[in-house]
Amino acid sequence: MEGGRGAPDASPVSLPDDLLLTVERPARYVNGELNAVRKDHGAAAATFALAFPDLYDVGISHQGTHILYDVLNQRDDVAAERAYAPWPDMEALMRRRGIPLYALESRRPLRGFDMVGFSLQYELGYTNVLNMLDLAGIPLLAADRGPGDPLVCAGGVSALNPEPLADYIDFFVLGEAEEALPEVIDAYIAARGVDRRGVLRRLAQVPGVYVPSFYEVTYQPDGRLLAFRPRDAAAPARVRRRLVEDLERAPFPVRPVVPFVEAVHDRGQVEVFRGCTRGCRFCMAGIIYRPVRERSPEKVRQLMLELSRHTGYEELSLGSLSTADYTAAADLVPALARELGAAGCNLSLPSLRADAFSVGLAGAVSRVRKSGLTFAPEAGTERLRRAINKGLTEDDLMRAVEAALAAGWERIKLYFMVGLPTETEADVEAIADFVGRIGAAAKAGRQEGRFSGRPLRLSLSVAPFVPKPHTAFQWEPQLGLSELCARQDAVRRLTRGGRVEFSAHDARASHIEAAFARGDRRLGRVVHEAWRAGAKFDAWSEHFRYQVWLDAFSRVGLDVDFYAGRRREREELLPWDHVDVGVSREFLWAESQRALSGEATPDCRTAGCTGCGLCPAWDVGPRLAVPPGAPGAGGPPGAAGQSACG
Amino acid sequence: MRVRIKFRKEAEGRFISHLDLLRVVERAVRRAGLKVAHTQGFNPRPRILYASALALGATSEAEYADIDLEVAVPAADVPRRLNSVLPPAVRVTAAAEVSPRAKPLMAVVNAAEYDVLVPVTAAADAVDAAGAAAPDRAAVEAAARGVAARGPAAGVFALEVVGFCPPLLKLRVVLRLGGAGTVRPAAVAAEVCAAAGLLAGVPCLHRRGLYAARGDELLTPWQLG
Repeated sequence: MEGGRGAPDASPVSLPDDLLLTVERPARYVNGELNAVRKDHGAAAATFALAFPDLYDVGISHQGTHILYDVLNQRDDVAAERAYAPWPDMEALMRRRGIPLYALESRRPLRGFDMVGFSLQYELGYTNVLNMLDLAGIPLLAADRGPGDPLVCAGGVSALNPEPLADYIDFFVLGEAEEALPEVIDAYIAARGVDRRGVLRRLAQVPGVYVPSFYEVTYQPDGRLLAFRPRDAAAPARVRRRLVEDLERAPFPVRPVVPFVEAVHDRGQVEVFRGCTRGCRFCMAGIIYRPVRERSPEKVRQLMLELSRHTGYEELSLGSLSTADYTAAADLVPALARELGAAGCNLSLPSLRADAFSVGLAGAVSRVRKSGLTFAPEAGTERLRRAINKGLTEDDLMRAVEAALAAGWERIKLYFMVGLPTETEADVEAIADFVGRIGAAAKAGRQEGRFSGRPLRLSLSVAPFVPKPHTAFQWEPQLGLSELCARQDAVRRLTRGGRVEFSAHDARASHIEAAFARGDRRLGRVVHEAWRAGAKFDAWSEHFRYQVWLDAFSRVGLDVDFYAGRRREREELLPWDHVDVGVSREFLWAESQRALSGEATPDCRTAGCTGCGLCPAWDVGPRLAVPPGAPGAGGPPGAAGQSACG
Repeated sequence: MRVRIKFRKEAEGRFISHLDLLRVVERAVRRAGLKVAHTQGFNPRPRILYASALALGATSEAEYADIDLEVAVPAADVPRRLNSVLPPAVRVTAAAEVSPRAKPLMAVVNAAEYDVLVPVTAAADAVDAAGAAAPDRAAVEAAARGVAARGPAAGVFALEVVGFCPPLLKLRVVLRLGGAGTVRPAAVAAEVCAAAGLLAGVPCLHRRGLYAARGDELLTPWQLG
């Protein structure tokens, strides 16, 4: 049977104390956390290692891994464990002592598992994928793996353009995996005695599974794609992403692993809804998670209380792409905040849209200890916000800030981008003006006694725009590096001395991110070259080295800007066209044209269908807790009355 | 009410820092449904005070913490309630109610007992000087007596050789704990080894007790007010 369980020496690794006690935060590398599940591999029909290509402290906060860990371990016939990227100090010791990468629960080497699955959240994590395979002793190239090697799969956000990792991954699971992965496991178990290619052919039949080796890609002389064709009868022409239609009944982990060490997001989370149809034109999540599917407030409350009971977290959050848009937020949030508060827990709302953030919500989650609120206006002028379809007015933001200050919040962080399509210098300067007006209004409010407490601490973060696949801006070029830096610097200069804390996301990292976001499978060799030159933990500014990447591109004979800085033609075959996310290409193109003319597109939850094509094509629709127009209905502002499609 | 608990920290627990431990206990208290009192002010913290921070890498069978509860429960119920929700690395072994007016544990606990397991090799010059014979148990015990003789004034309350089976040496020590006067078990082990002509590797520590020294007596936290 294919998979690593027959591998020689798949017995648990030995981790001597003298090794663990010399590295930073040794608890990253041992098991025993609350709610970790340890199962007998002998009793399992399939063993699965969920590999997160970043440090434990980051990976342990990843909700998707908790969901899949729970879904797989609920099955008696599956043993699922976790693995994370060791920090360089631990990696160096492991390599020196010949300790292969292992899964935490059983300490068995990854190469001894039937399947190893990577969660791809960010393009700059790709070198860590290769590094983990190498540390595990698993052949990097899918083509080099044989009968004793695990099947290596990948999923997550970035998998929706899977091509840059096509050489290294046996199969991808596209979209929401909680229903797809058990089907993959069933197909795998049923394929006993079949050879590797045969197993992959069976897996290719599972909806949502993409086997890159079953497709042939050819290129035109100028480098653009010529054709992308299946070369195996088992492979469909396009692969449709998976979508969990009924989130209400979908499994949710109320006993997630609770880390010993301090996680990046040190709290528990309940997903209140999935998807977002605000339609911001730069946002990939807004396309790939459609339609909006909400959980009922009763279910959210039940999950929250169970989560609290099984974890004891001091902070619990309501997670989604925009929690203030939850139609039942107005009633649920204050009640839940009070109920959890009585048990000693804070309720927090990450990901807030300023136009849906109300005084009520601000007060409800008001706590003595405030970490701060984050809003993302993204652009400094109303014109540009309309062009990118971030339907937020300055009034909306001002009201949100005032509501926050009145409720006692003291720290507000604002996110903006530079390099957006149709952006001018005036738009960039307007960022500084906008932030200045917020600061002035806050100061005036304090002087007039409308808010008490300490002065507002305002911080501003400016990141370069990265065009993403499956968005209206997927044809756009990224602005050149020097111009991006110049625009970030302009904002920095204009806000200097204004008591605003400024930070800028490294434009060089964004440049490489932009190349991979819309890359084809030839970029696989670039990842390999960069990794061989020592690149890893590229998402970490202390480790990212731009020159290493430029050199890698150069050695492979490819041009970064062919991928990052080139405008795509309307009819160009794009490397991710075989991935069917349900939203039509025509809609995305139309949106890109509406951006040019500055026309806004409303949210289909409240304003009626905007024609993205998904619901009629797939026979799905938004599922809201409170229908629009009903009493108490929250949700995005928009033309009420006409109900959403589906 | 104030409940004093005694607990073990072992197995993978030796890799969690004291700060990590604070989180583990705080969350367990919450999961157990015990209502903890909080400090006042801008950043309320649960009122759980520890006797001493255990070094990363050490195990222990005798850690202590005082928990201030807003809602009283029978102290005898506390170990069961906490153990049913704690990760296996931490186990509560005893609990008793103590006076809320008692001095904080950290202020009174000033001595700690450890088992120190030291990997040792014969020091090259000792072997040469002795003419090829490595130090034996008698030599080690003599060295230990020498260090022990410094006495409580120097922070050494007790020191004995429990076992010597090269390459392992096991010492049992009771040393002063707290602030600048803390005597580190690894340092004492290194001195004993040096005096005995041995080279000491990094020792493995297991804390066996915490005490308040009163004259010649060592009182456990249960014997304090």
